[in-house]
Amino acid sequence: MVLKLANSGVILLVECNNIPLRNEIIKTLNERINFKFYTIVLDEKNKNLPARMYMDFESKKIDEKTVVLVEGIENALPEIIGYLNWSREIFLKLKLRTIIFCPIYIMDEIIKSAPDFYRFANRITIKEKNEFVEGTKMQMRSFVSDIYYDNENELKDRIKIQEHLLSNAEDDYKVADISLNLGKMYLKICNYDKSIMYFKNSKNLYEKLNDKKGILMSIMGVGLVHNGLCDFKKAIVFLENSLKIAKEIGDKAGESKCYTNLGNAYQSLGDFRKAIEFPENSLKIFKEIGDKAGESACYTDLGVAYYNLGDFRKAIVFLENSLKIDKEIGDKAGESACYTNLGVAYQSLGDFRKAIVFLENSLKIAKEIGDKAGESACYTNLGNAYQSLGDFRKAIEFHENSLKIKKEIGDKAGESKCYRNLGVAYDSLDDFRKAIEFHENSLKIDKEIGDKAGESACYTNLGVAYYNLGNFRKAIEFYLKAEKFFEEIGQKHYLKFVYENMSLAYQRMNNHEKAEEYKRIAYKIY
Amino acid sequence: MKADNISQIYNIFSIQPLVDKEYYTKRQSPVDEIVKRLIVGTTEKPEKFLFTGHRGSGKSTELNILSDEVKKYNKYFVVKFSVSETLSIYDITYIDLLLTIGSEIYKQAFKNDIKISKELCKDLSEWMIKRTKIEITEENVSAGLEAGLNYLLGKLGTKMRVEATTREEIRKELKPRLGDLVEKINTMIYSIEDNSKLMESDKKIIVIIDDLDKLDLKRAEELFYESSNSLTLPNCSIIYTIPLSIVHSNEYTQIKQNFTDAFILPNIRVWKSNGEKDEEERKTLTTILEKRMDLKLISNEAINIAIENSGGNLYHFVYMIRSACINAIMRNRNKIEIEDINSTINNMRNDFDRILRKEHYLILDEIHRTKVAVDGKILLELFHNLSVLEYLNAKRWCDVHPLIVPLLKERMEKQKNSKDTAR
Repeated sequence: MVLKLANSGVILLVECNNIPLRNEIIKTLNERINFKFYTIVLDEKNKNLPARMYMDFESKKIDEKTVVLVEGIENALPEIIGYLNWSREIFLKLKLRTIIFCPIYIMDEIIKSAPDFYRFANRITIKEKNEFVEGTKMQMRSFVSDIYYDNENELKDRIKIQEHLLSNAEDDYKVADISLNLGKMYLKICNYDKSIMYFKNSKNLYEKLNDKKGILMSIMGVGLVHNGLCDFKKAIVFLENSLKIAKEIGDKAGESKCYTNLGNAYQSLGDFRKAIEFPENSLKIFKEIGDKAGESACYTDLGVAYYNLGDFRKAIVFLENSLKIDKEIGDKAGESACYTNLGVAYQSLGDFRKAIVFLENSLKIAKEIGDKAGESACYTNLGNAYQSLGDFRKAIEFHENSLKIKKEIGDKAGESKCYRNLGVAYDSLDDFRKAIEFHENSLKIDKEIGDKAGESACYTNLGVAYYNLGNFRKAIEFYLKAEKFFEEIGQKHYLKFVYENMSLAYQRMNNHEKAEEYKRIAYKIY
Repeated sequence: MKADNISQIYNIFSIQPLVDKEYYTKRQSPVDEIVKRLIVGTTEKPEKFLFTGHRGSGKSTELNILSDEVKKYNKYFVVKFSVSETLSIYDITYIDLLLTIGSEIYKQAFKNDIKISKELCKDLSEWMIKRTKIEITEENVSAGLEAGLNYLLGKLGTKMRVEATTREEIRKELKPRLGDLVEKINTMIYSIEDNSKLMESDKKIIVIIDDLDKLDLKRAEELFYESSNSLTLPNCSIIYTIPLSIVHSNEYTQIKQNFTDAFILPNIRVWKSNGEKDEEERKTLTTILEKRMDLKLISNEAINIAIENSGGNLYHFVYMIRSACINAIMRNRNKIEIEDINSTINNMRNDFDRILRKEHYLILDEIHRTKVAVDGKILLELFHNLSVLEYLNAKRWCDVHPLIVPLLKERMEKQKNSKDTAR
């Protein structure tokens, strides 16, 4: 629209991280607008965009009726910022229609360092397509689970040992301790019913023994179970109770654990301000008692909180602090997690190349320390990064690596997620049939293990695949299924995606009434 | 065996803790109370005791006695070890100590043919290999899981004791996994206590750790102040020896909170706080002599001067007799006389003279006058090097080591004179 109306020069800054999406936009523009398109790709030798445009204009390669598409602005950093700010007049004078695609991190740079240019340009943010890609998540550090394990089988063996001991134990202090262990272990494998049962048991016994510290840990455990069950409000009540006890008995380490866990709970509740406040409290204590590992964990949590607040730069500062400490104290696993988190942060800034460097570091360490699960997570994240870069074949390669490990260690849920990512990648390769195959694989597993959220993501993705195949009826069928499940598990914000997708499908079926209706419903959410 | 000629004295008065009761003399000691607490006490929870006393006051001997006493009641499976044999005494952290507690328990159980469950044994071995990077060789595998783990722990012990880099690596690896380590240790404890050999008589494990008082002051403070919490995590009864100077540090109240109770082995009182001779306690020292030697090998005056100058510290007392016997032999006598003791005393006093500084003397002077020790960093050093000794009646009181008193007088005299001339 803007392009058509403009009779003088116009600059559109299109904020768009995802390269395939960018291509799609260009395609659509081509279809809809009757202009000539001329693409300028910037690279290291070719950084001065205004000069280049002036030259091209002079040599009549472009004129007032051309839309100039600028790509590769990331290759022209940092000089480009100055060029833009000083030579904005050229854009005006030439009366050109220019579209500059730029990732978020460059947009930040422009706003900060080229304000004159920015004021003059129009900013458009393009949202990504509503497919469910799994895996690229920041890793928070939660304390109470001071349980480390490489795969679930190892943990299950440990549970067996503990349960056997429990059956012989008579003394209260033993039963309490073993129950607490079992609570923590079941929490790790997300068996919340058993976990809460054991935590409650240990709490009762510790009360009998008047062991405040035990009570504190048990209550914290109950809180974390509620956290796992997504009942964050209830979780916070328990966690605050445990905080009270920790303060009462002067247990500094316990106090900071409570802060950390409360931070996590508020994070999940979406109250990011509080999610920053609590780790800051616990950071203070860790510095005081000289607990470096704890300090690092706080930095990570703060990084994640700022990340969720959308302040990626601040997030990166904290994550780098955490990385520094982990290197210092030789916490390899932590170091690897930091690299992953930094990778994710740079990915969100749209700086995929940097993201890939970090993710590869993380991968290297995971391999080194033989952390299979971590290795697989790295493959997934790398796959997602390459997916965003538009290198789908490479993305598929990584997702397949990840899948192999997941099968090896018997992680069913993870396997399903890999299928889902592969599905999305093949979808982007326009191999929709293969995409459907993978999504169906994923669906089968999710049904098997009873993962409702996963199941509904599969329905959504299947819907998208059928939509791409042009089978809109079938697409809507799947969207409706997804809707049902998301409603059931109360994931409101995902419903919004589904409705948006449905609106698109109806539009293509020329049912504009329904399309409008779903658009409205989607709009109302949030 | 009792020494009946002078040449035997040297060997019999060896400065080692006693392992049996041949030379043992009953004295005022908290051991009786500890035993009572362990045996009669309602063991709702495992007890964690601190045990302390001056260096050379006879702690190790008392712990040996304690261990024997406890065994008699058949209620405990006793695991006793000295950190100076299992770890590098100059460099010990709570991680090392926890690891050692775990492996000593296992080794002791293995020696007594008490097995833990196969699953646990496998879990422990795998965990140890992963965390410590120590390999099990083929031979060990064929010897069975239990023996394999025993070998692994033995090897770990050697590495922890002599290889500083391995120590550092293992600490780095385990520090963030403290919860895991404690879980492993406790699971093992429960499993051993579940063994029919212990189960039948409801025996529980008690760990007695000796020689932790030999740590230097800074490390001891780090260990017991910053990580006292972690030291109470193993779910069995434990007795830790700690340096006496810890008891006098500012952090002691906080340290004590984490433990069930703390016991101090007092020095044998040579004097009462009012300056009178404490005849009853002096008798204890005479009995100690009598058990080891024929009293005709030493003159009464020599005995008295040895007793008075030892300050009731058993190490100093035994050391005095031991080196006095050499002096006597060198002078071709077959009886220890007062001059033999005196030359030993001079040597020992010179040792003190070398380590004491000007600021020390000011504090020593105050303590000698008031019999009260107020706290302070320097005082901790003085306790640690035995310049100040603590005694217990109903109330605790302190005094300067008798060997130092002449040095102190000389110093104070000089200071007074120099002040006078300055005027």
